[in-house]
Amino acid sequence: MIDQANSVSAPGSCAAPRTLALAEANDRHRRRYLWAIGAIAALGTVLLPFARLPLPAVPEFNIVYVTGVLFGDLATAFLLFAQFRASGRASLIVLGAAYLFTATIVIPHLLYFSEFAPRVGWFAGAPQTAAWLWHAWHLAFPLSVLGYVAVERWGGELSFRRRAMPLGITVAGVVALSFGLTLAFTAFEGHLPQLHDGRVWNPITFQLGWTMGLATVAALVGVMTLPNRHRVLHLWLSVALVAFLFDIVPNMIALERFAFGWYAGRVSGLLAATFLFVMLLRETSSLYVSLGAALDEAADLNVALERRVDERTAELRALNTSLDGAVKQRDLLLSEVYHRVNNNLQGVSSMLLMESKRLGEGPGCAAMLRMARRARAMGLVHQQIMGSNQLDSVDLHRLLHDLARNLRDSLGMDNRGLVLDVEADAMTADIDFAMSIGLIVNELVSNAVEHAYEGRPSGRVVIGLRRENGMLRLEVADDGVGIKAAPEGLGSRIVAGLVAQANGRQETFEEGGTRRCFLFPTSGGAV
Amino acid sequence: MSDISVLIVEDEFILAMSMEEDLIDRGYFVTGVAASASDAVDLARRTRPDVILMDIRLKGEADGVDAAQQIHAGQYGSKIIFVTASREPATLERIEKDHPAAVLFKPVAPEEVDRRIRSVLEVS
Repeated sequence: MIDQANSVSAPGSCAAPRTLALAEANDRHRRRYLWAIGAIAALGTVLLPFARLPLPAVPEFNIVYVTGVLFGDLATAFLLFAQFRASGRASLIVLGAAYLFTATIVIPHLLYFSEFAPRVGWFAGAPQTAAWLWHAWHLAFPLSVLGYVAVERWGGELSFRRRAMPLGITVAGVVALSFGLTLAFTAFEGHLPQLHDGRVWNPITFQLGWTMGLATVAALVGVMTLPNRHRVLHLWLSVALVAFLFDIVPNMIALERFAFGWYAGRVSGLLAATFLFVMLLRETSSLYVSLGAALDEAADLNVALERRVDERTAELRALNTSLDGAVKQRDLLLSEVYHRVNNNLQGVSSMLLMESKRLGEGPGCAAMLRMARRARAMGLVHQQIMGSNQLDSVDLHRLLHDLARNLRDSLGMDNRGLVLDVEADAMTADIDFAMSIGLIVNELVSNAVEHAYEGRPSGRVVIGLRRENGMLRLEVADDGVGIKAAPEGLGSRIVAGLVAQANGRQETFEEGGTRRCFLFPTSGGAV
Repeated sequence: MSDISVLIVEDEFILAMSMEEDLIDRGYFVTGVAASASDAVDLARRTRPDVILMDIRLKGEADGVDAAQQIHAGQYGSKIIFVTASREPATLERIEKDHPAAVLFKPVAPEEVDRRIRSVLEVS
């Protein structure tokens, strides 16, 4: 906040300052400035010869004049102080003080001129009070502007936190000064030189007038020779000073109250007091107009942007829908493929079964049945994957139970008094790993049933699948006659090959039967 | 046991043949093999089997569930055992709505088929 305020008011740091008092004039401003200054100077000069023309005394005219000055100067002071708060330019506080002083000093001037002031004590006032107050203000204003020029030229800026206090001190000081001067011009009026004799001015006012006029010209030159004289504020301040000059000069020529010069000077003074305020107000309204236009433009841009966002959203939604459709299509296709593979495997196992029946008891028949079981085990894995949501994982727990049911039937275990149990943790795996597990279990259980229970009336085979220390432990245990009964055959080679394919290790124990354990890394596809 | 009659509804010829052969070996009477839903309904109406082994995917537009609904509507007295390769939730939901006697998932061992037929008919 502080930095922002400083950077805005830093000289030359910003092409378009946001504070009105620092705005640069454009060609239109300069044209208006030349017109205004030319018109006032020309009209003032042309009317100067008529300054002494006596006119009827209308003291109420002074009320209008002072009211206008009071309003114009107070408003200008307020505006300049606000600009100071915004920009931190120390010079603005001086210029604001000049206007505030005028605004405060005109009040006692009017009161004593119109004899409204209470005639009591030190403030009783006297005939010269109003005149002295008028001279004080017409001298103080150009001198204050000179002060402004000096501070503008050599002064700096105040940081945001340090702006309130100087402002408060300035306002209080200006009010106190006006109060003090009023007191001086009332209580000590008798000690001061006589400025006028009721209606006609004494020669001393001529000397005072010269001083005021020279101070005004000096202030004008000071403003017009500032390095940043092209600021809008300085153009309008110059115009106000020219008008102020034509408040003083006709009075000096008229040397009499209620002469034409007296009236003309007050008209010009009114102009001087209100000109800056009106022009700054004008700038403010044109700022608002351009702000409105900018806001309209921003609103249009916003609408266009929103439309673009809507379009883009619709495009994305359409794309999303088509992607969704593509995924569904893919799932459908995959499901169809698995379905066909499953059916074909069932077909293969069916044909092998039919063939085995035609062969009759013997090694050929046994081989056919083994092949049929292998094909069915592979089919079971495919059947499991169709049941999964993503078509990419197999429920191993369910696979082992389904496989066990199939093996019980196809190996005729029930008829031989053999039990097949499954003790498996809940887990899933990808199809390759599941296929290995299915085929390994199929081989081992088949092997156990075919060779481990010869001459035994009953037995129990257990399939175990457990998570163990981050590994997967598959176990097929029987309580049969031992491993020596099992001949080395295709089944053993299939098991060894599949275990190696899944990066597993094989351990075999014999303790009242055969227990074969396999450890697989879980990175092998099991979850 | 020859008093149990079975209708096989299966569009895969080899599976149908294998199933038929196995059932005959086990002493069942196979009333026919249908490959489409309309054939299945027609055969069920004409042969009134005790049990129908019903595949889901069949030749033609209608599937096994459609056929089962028509057969139930006809009140031919047949118990329907679905034999399906699909585990799609949508399909399973449709099967459940038909209140099937049993559901078997392919690949299925002949012994399992035998056992289910007996349990559905409550014979030993």
